[in-house]
Amino acid sequence: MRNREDLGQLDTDWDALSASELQAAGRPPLARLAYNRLGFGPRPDSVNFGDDWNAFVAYVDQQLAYESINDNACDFFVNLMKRTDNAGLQVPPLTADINTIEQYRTAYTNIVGYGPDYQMYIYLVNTTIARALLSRRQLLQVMADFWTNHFNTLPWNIYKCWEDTHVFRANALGNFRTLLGMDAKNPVMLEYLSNTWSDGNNPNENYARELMELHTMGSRNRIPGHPWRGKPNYTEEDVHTVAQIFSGWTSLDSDYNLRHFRFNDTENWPTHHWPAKRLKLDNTAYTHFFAQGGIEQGEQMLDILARHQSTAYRIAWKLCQRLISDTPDLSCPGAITAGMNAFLSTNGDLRATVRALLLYQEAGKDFASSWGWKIKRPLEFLVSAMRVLDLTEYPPPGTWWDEEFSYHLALLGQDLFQCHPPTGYPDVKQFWWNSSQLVRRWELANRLVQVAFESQASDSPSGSMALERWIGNTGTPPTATTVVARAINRCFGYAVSAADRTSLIDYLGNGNPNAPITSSHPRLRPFIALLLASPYFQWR
Amino acid sequence: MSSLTFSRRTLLKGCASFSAFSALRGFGITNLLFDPATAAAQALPTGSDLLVYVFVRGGLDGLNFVTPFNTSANDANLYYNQLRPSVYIPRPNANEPRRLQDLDGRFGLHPDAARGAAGVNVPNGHASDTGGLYQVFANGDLAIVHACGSPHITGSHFDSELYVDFGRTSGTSGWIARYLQQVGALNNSLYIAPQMAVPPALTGAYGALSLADPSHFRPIWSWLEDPYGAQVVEQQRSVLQTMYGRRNDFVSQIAKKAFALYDPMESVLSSTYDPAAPYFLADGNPAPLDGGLFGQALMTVARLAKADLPQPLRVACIDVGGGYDTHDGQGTVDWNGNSRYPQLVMNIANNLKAFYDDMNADPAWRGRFTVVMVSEFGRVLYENGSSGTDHGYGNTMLVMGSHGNINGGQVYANWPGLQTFGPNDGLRITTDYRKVLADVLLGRMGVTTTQLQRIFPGLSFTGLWGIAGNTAAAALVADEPDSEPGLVEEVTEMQQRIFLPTVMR
Repeated sequence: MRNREDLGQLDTDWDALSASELQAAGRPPLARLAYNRLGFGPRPDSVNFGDDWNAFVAYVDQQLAYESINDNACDFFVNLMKRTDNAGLQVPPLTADINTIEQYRTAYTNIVGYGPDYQMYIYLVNTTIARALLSRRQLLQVMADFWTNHFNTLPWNIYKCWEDTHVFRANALGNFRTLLGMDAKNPVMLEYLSNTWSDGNNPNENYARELMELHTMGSRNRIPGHPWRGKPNYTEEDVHTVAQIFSGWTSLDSDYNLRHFRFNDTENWPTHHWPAKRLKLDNTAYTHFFAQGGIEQGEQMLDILARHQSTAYRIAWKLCQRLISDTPDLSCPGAITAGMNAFLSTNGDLRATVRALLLYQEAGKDFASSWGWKIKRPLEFLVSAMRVLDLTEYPPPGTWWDEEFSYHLALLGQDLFQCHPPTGYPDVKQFWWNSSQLVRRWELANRLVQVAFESQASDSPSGSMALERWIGNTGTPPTATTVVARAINRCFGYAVSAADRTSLIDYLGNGNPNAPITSSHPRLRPFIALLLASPYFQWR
Repeated sequence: MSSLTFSRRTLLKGCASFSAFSALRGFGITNLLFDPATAAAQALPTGSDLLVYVFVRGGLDGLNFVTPFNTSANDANLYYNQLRPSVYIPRPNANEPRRLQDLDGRFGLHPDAARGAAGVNVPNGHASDTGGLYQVFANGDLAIVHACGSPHITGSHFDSELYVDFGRTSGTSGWIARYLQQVGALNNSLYIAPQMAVPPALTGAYGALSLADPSHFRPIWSWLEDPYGAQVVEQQRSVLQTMYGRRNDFVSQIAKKAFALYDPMESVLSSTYDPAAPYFLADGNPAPLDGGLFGQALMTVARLAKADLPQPLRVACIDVGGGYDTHDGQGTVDWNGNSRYPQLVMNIANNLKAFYDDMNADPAWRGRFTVVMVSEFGRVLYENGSSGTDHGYGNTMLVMGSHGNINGGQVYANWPGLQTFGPNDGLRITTDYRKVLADVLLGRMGVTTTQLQRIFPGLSFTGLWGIAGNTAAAALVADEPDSEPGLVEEVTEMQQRIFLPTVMR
């Protein structure tokens, strides 16, 4: 654009400048990057494999084959989490089927007078955070979070837990077509995007539009070099056609209760299927004539979308944005292509897609070079801080009430499962960093440290062990300089600038770098919170 | 969920021992001896108003907000009998208690945007009977532009919003960021978003402050229980400010500005504020100071505007959401009821009126602020099968001034009529929304035509409405036509980089 220079610094690629400055200042080893991106950050006992590429590949493969990771300790804890609701009943376990949830809803409603949506929501939120904190299947937790945002709905639906288990987690690293098909019959989604009441006579286009724009192809073709690049993937007419194809896909039973998925091709009010004759996708490039109506038409539509090249590109692009860079088309275009090709050649195998884009190598444009390309979203900030603090329970003992930390997430703008737009929460740093984030992350860091040290009080055996990890178990109290070095390594995994280290030592030792630091030193806790609120800890 | 969120917060405050807080008031810059009536407005450069940019996310149904009840006999017949047989607003002279408020014999204002105005039948007196936007229009301080919008609207909320926020379909900066840059205000003024996230219109302006918590700008719990808590927070703050201050990466640049304004912002936000006019929640109840909705956001702008801050408040950006995407069960008119669309209208109209009154109560601000309201697209001209309206095209846009600083009291429109549908079966667009912004920038924000062309590069038009002063003669030389086909590639790049959806479903 001719006027570009006149715009001056505003249109400079600040992301790239910021990242290169950050990288020049020092970066953590590949191991730290892997724990941050493929999980919710390292725990103090996570193996530091440094920059060893082969070890990284092994870690990726281990996380992808999550079924073979023993996660009994996490499952055991999650199964013990409080499920008793305010009516004295037990909220159904996460694996409950729809009938079990219905029985619970009836029992709860009989006592309380309204449904237990909130009880189930809180249980889902707390178990989600607990798994992120405790699970050894870290990548699975990241992928569950990815899909719940990709196929965003709202939590005020009794089947939200069912959706989480049977749609997202069951297919998180499975096949995309299966996942898409499960979601198209997901009663939570059908209600959220208005398809439940969509009638063939006058179909509601809400689900159809987002199915194409957000769940699969995207509004425009974005594949570099593709002859259709920049062109719309579909027209408004296509939106109406697809809406008609999915008319009658409802979760209304014959008594108009929202229950299981049901395909209604009878003529009965209020919603029934009215087949479409043909689909002219890609504007003019592609025309599909449907041989028959019925539910098969919708299944065919999902087939078309799931194997569309734009879908492959877009899913690979979004996974790159989640795992590698806010701006993957600028930072790591090769990784997107690798992911897209794997997606296409395996008919949407997500394991192969993730593996290909993570292991793609190109100097300066791949996962290994990606330090400075992403910051932590609030959930990642919260859980990575808890993991650094070595918390082993959620909610941690000493919290004021069970929802305290999910409330912190709400204050930080990431109320779990509560993103109103169907896009899910954004994945770019511009959305997640500003003056409010600064103040509230600092606030949360202080509270977390307070809870961590209260729950690990120095008079309990586990508590003193936890504290010794910060100050060392050497007999004589270490100096402020020693404690700062150890804490920096634990929290960041790489050296901070000399000036910042001096500032931190000044603070902890109150001006004396040789001040002895014991576990009861009044500056120890605020010092640890300082590290969590510092710029170093915000980067992912 | 808002009431739940509010009660949770109240509970937390109870836990966090707020007695410690009153002790904190002494920190920072105090405004006890300061007369807010004079200083803040003087700090704004002459010829520059405070700009409040309100974005209604979701696609407001402008056709029922400002209704063409008498633009022609054909239009009236189409609107009442064919396009909107059930989702319509009754004519001003209809024998119904809830009906349009006539603006100029052609267009009528939705009655819930005129609550309490003389001539509107109000069955029961209510706190929201302030006359709403109709009163502002009657005062000559509200300009309405119809059949207005972006030539780049698609059926997608997210694409369309971004084009409006960026003021173009390429690049990586918001139009308000470019405005601040062009007038040299990036480093010496305040520009805020009284909400959690900074909207894309400010993308590129790293000094933008997000004010999610209207009553604090500091950490508010844990260590404050400790008698040494305040001291600890101050010590931490000093180290953090130093560490962030040494760096220029993304998080540090933003944090530096926040720390620089930490004391004065905390001083203002943690003190009490009594607005000169009532702000409202979406349900029509008066808005508390805390809570984060539109009324409170505007109230935060007013209290900061009136406060003693080291830099003048130049821009505030507010996103309004919460159900404007009226695909089903839209509703038409009622008073103090639960119907959806009337609540949405009241939320906009009464809160803008409250801001207008609150600011005008301060002599220093009279004639010194301009509010612009946009939405990404209007709705389809005809209602759908679910008593709602789908994504359309052209829409209504508002410009609200103060004490005659704009040429208000008029509906500006090259009215296209309802006979021929525009794209997406919406209202055809005859005024590019950037023409309205150009009017405001030239007439009220001290922007030159050269600067304007850098704010909206490639924009090509020669006549303006003159909404905000005598700008009609400011012919802009066509630069590089912002035609769609050549820009498609850039569109995709931009959209992929900055994707900040804030629309409500």
